[in-house]
Amino acid sequence: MQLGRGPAGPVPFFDDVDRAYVVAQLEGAMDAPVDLEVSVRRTSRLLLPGAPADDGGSDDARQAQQLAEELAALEPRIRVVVSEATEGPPRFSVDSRAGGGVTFVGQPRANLFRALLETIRRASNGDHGMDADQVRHLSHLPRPVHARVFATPT
Amino acid sequence: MGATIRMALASPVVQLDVVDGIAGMELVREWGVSGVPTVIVDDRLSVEGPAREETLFEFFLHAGDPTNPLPAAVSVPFSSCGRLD
Repeated sequence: MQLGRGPAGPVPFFDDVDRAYVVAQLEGAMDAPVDLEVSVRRTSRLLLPGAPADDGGSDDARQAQQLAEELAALEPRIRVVVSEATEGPPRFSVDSRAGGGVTFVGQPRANLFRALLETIRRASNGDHGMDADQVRHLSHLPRPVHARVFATPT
Repeated sequence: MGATIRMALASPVVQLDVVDGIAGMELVREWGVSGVPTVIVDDRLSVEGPAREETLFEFFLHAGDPTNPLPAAVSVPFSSCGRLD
C-alpha cells in the first residue's frame, strides 16, 4: 500500500439508478450524434505564496470530464469534446441544429442534469418543441441574443 | 428553464447559459441575483421569478429586435444602470 494514493480507478459518477435513468431518457430517443463540449479549468491561475497550487479547479475538471465520459459510454451518439477554459466552473455546451446553443455552467445536478439530457435529446432530433410561428420569429431576429437563466438543482 | 432552452434550440441567434446558482456564485453576485429562476438577457434586462412562456418569448424577441415591444414583466437590473443603449 502506498500512502497518499487513492483507489485504483476513479469512483463511478453514476450509480445504477442514474445509469438506468439516462438510458431510459436517451436510448432510442436520439437521431443525429451530438457533440457535448466540456470546458474545464485544470489548475488555478494564481500561485500565491503559502497557498495550495490547486484551488479545486482540477477536481472540478476531473469530475466534469468523468461525468461527460460516463454519459457518452451510455449513449454512443454523444461525442465528448474536452477543451481548456481559463476561468470559472466547468461548462457543458450543446449546439442546436438551428445554430444556437445551450451551455450549462457548473456540474449539472438533479433537475439541471435532467435539463441537460433533454437538451441533448432535443438537439439530436431537432425537436425544439416550439411551434412554427414562434420559430419563424426567433429565426429572423436581426441581432444575436445572449441569455442567462439562473437556476438551482432542486 | 425549459422554455428558455427550447427557444435557444429553435433559434440560430440565441445562445443560452444555464447557470447553477451555486456553482456560478461569481455571476450571481455580479448580477445581484436574489432568487431563481432569473433570466438575464444581453447583460441588461431581466425577468425575476417564474414567468409565463409567452413573456419569455416576447422578452427574447425584444432582445433580438428592439422594435418588438418589451413585455411588462421585464425589469432593468440595478447593476446594469448606466449601461443601457
